[in-house]
Amino acid sequence: MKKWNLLVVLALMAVLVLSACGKDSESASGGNNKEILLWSGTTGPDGDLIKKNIDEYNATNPEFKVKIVAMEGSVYSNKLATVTRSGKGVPDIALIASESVSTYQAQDMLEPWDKYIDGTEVKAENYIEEAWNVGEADGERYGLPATMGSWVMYYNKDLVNKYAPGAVDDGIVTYEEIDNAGEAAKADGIYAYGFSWPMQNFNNLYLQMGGQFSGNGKPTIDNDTAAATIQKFKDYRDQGYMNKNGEDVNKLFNNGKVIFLPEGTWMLSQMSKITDFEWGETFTPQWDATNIIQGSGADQFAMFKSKERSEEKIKGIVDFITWLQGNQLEWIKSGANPTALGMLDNDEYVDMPQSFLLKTEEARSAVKIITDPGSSYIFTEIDNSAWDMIQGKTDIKDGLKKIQQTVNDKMKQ
Amino acid sequence: MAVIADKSLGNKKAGRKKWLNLWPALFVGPHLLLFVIFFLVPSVFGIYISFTDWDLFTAPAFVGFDNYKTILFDQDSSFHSQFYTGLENTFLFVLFAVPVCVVVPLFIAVALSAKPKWNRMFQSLFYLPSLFAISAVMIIWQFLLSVSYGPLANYFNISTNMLDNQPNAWIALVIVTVWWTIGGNMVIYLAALNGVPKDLMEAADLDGAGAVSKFIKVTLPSIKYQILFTTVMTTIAQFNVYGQPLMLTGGGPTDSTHVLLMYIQENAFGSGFSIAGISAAMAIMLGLCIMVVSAIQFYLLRDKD
Repeated sequence: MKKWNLLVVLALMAVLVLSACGKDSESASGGNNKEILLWSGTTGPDGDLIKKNIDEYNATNPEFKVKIVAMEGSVYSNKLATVTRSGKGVPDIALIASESVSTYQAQDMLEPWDKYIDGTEVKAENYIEEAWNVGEADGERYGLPATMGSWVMYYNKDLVNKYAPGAVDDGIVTYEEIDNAGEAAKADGIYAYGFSWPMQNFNNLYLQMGGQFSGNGKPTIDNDTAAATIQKFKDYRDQGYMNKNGEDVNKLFNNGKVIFLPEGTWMLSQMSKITDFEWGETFTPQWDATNIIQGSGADQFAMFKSKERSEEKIKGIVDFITWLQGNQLEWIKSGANPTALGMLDNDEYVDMPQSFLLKTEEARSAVKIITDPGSSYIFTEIDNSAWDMIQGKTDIKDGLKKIQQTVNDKMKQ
Repeated sequence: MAVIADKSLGNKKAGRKKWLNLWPALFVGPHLLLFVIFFLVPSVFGIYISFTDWDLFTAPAFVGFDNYKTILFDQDSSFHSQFYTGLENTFLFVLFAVPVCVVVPLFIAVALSAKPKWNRMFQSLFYLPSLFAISAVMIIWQFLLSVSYGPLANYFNISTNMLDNQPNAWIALVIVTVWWTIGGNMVIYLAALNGVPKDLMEAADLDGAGAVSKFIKVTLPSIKYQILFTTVMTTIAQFNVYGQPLMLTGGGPTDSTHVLLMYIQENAFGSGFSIAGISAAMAIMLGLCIMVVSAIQFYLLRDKD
């Protein structure tokens, strides 16, 4: 009897162990040859909008339907690393950030698109120039543009009328106009400027002041322009025109305590919930109104190397991307902008708040996407150190020197 | 005849013994399997990676002791300052948090072991935070300590961000950690206190010992092994501090709460190319520190008899 008990227990254990070794069918490619597996790092309500857009494509009954698997950011990049090393379960296409194209290409992880898009409508003439250009590395095309996310500025119309009348009339708000509104607003307990994401605020002003993220192919941040950029925000904080570290600036804006709030187009769904006052969206604040620079990122469709992807399937992928050129409405309801020129005349898109970013040729040429080598390291260090420099806890020059050292060391590895 | 009968009986006994010996192995087996797969193999692999230059995508390139030389001795390298800053902050956190994480649950257990009214309800309340995930705990405390809408800022009229200056940042981290981890140690101490011999306490009463004397001379010696165990386990846990400074202070102000595990995670899984070799070397050094500290604790708290 005991022998039988032992055999039953052994059998149960074997079943448990073997079931744990089962294939993860949802995120693995190759299991279904008529399905394009798309990986994305966008989850939440925005992820739902992307899925809805893809469902619309699948409803057209294409030869290859698209299945999207979304996962959280850090999980996404780790999983891409794992599957690419093993060669098993590689997605057919993946959505990656514009600055990641050169990183992945340098690690020889990507397949070029060139021969597959030759002779199709997926070509430079059909896309926003900057969004198209960032998909190229070493003379070959490794990314096809998906959507564009930009750093913009939301403003409280009532507070603008009171403290900065006329500032938004031309659609461009300068730092000088914000300075002029600062003192009067401060007296009433209102912040003229909302400082949320350090890296984005820094990047835009730094570029507008003429700053560069690389020189001679090497990342550069320890310079006078970067110091002047940080100093500007330090002045705002010292003068009381800007929120303090730790204050929830988005909540302050929602409560009518901030006039101008630079934030991302992805915050549109949050802003849409505001009912207490009228708000507007315009370009990120400008250092020079005659030379608009608008920081953006353009997500790219990329093919990670895989032996399981057939030529027919790649053709199906190109068909999907071609279809998206004129049918991205659901996706861009998240606040993103399309990268395909074919969407710019869509009546519903034209009425969306973020459409001003691509409305005119001047606006389109203002788009600036940063892909310099080592820029992602700079962004991380700025996020870690900006508030310390702004609050005077770290000397600005010392802080930038430390950031430069860290970036140089990481690039050497 | 009797000898033959004895021999056959012996064979049967030996046979039964052979089957019985497999049962303990079966019970330990699943844990052993998980231990090997999720601890032993990754640990050995991590030691190997610490001697390589690896970006997670391409094959690791062997570099010998270069990573260790960089983090331990290369004063021009930012990884060197990261390592020592992170290690110092980790040690500081252990120094501040461990005594409080041992003493507070002990006193609570002593109070509850006196079986006051509603002691079971209090026991549950004190244990409840231990059930929360770290992210839930941090969200709760972020709201509590928020200078924009937190109750502490509003009711006590505090306009400065408590998490943005020292020593408030350390105080906040220790309070949050103690609040979160009270339950585990408290339960161990409660069980230990229940095992203190009652005749010893009665003898102490007869000798005229007060409450404090009884606690120091009878209770503490009776539960010293549990205190040793919880001290060592709490020390190991606090050396692995990561979630609290990450989500509450972000490592600030001015990197003063930037612990070593945060640097390890940023270098291995942060933006850009992964620097897994340096991260692994830092992790191995942290592991060695934990082993040394635990050994010292065992030595100091050992039974001298």
